[in-house]
Amino acid sequence: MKIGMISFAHMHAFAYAEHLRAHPEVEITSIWDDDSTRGKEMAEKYGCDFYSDLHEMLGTDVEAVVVCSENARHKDHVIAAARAKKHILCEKPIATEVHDARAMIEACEAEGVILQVAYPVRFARAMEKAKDLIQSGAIGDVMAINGVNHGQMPGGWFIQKELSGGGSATDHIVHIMDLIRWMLGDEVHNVYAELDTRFYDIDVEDCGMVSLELESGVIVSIDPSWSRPKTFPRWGDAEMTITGTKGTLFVDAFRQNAKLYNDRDHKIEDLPWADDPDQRLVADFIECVQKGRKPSITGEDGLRTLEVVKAAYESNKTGEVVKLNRVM
Amino acid sequence: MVKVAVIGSGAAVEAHLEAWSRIDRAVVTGVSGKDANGLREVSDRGGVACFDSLSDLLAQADVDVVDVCGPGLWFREPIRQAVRAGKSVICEGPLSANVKDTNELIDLCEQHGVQVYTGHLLRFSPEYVDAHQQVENGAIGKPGVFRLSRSMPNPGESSLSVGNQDLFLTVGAGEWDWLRWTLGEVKRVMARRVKHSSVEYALTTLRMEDGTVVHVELSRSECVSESSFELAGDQGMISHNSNESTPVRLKTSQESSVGLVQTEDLLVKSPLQRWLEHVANCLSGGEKSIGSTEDARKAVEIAEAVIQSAEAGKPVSIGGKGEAK
Repeated sequence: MKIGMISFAHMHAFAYAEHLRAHPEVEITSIWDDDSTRGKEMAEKYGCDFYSDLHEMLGTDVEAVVVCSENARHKDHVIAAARAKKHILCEKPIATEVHDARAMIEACEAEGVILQVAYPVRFARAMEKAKDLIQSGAIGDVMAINGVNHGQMPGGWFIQKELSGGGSATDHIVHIMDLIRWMLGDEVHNVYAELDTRFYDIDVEDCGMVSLELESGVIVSIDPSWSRPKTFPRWGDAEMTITGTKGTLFVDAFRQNAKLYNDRDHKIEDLPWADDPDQRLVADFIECVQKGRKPSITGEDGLRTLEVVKAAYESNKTGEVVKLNRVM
Repeated sequence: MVKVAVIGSGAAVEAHLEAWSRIDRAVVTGVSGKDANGLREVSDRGGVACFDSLSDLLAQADVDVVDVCGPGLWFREPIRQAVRAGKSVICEGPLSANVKDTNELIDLCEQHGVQVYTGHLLRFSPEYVDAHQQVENGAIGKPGVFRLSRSMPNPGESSLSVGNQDLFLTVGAGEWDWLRWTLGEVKRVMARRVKHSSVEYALTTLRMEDGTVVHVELSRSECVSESSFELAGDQGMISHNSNESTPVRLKTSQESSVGLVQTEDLLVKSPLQRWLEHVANCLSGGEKSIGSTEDARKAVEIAEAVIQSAEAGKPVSIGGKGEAK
């Protein structure tokens, strides 16, 4: 299968490209990037063609594309790819505005192409195991979830609102939100949020707390802060404490590590040995295209989580609890 | 020598008697409480006189201070009785369930010229004392996001008769006080809670006046107590979990017998003993009280706002009027 990469702006593109290259049935044949230096470098690395014109690239015989452009550009790139009848794996968040997400979903439906949103944490084995335990009734009925998705401040376009759509709330609410929707099959009823910029001198929020109630009455907190110190042993974390009527389940997507005490660089590092969720996400997308099945993570999944992010911003602005109005 | 009357029920009284027995400046002159039988056993073991009622105790024993083993809201009348009899009061938990009652009680103490000492137990727990000092000394830079968590075993049927068991007033009492002690006043709160037979669980977001965002998880469900904190600032982060601070672990060949030696057993002086010793020193004139009646009142004020928020499903401002923000 021939695959094209649309932009390496998001660092996950490098991981996805590596996994695509390693996939026995896949070949990266073309790369488009608005940063031609980066694009040419990548094209050389993967032995494929670089295109400075997106439409020219979409005119080639690639079957599918991976979109890792800046958040605000997902819309244009996904819609262009859909019109060229390419299947799409789109980096999260799906878009920066709800109406953009809707337009993307509609375009993909109209063109009959697959739109999968990249939520790799679903493919962490620990998360799959937690989902199985919950669905088997191990902790009874779920009552509450205390979730965190912390990170370090990524800088670059992530802190330019016009490109990212926002700071840590945009970057980090969606992973935990997607896991909750996936595990519980539930939707958000209302949202309260406190967001702020307290760690860095930047123009977007870098921390906060989101308080949610689901339709079923389950209560949820999500901490999406870029609050990990530079000395933290890894990039961040994704953890949930799930309280049920019969017990409590703790799950950490990234706790299969050895510890490196690194005197050379004066730091302590986690050395992960877990099955790579990015690799499994890429393999799942390829299989989805090959079999023509419904994607594991749909455009609607992307839209629903984006709606929660937008409600969090609104709540932070008004100081009120915001009731969710779902579209589509 | 400070003469102490201890009131409460079985296990709590036993813990307090144990702590008092290690304090040189104090002597327990009597105990009384509801479950007379269990209490008789405990007092016999401690070699202390047991009285059928607080009235008898106050009439017959020599008492400077009444030590209430548990949140004051469980002991509304006994506390008032002690104060009217001119005795100072030591109260482990919040003085009362709301600011109005707390103020009345503090006024009553002032009228009768007696002292009231409330728990602030985290101000005597070494891990929380150290974290407080580290934050104050700038170890993490400017505070950004603080996360605290505490779970306690469900007290079960026996204690339910005692009175108001509100999670926010009992399990969370130390957290509200520690947050104020460390970061200053609370601006607004947003709380949500769920209950199911023996499981009680709550998630609270607080915004402090200094801007720090705080999350507090409280639960009463699991069989093991656990507490943790993670204090992130712009120059560093302090994290602690009671279940990871386990320097002594016992494993035997018998099935499922991994024994964790609890933190309290690994301290020369338990937080309770540290606190009671401090109070004894205050009462005998040597020390200034850590934690004032104002602190006691403020801790109740936070708990009351949190309860109100959870009930209304809305944020509640503290100190200001009406709506948040």
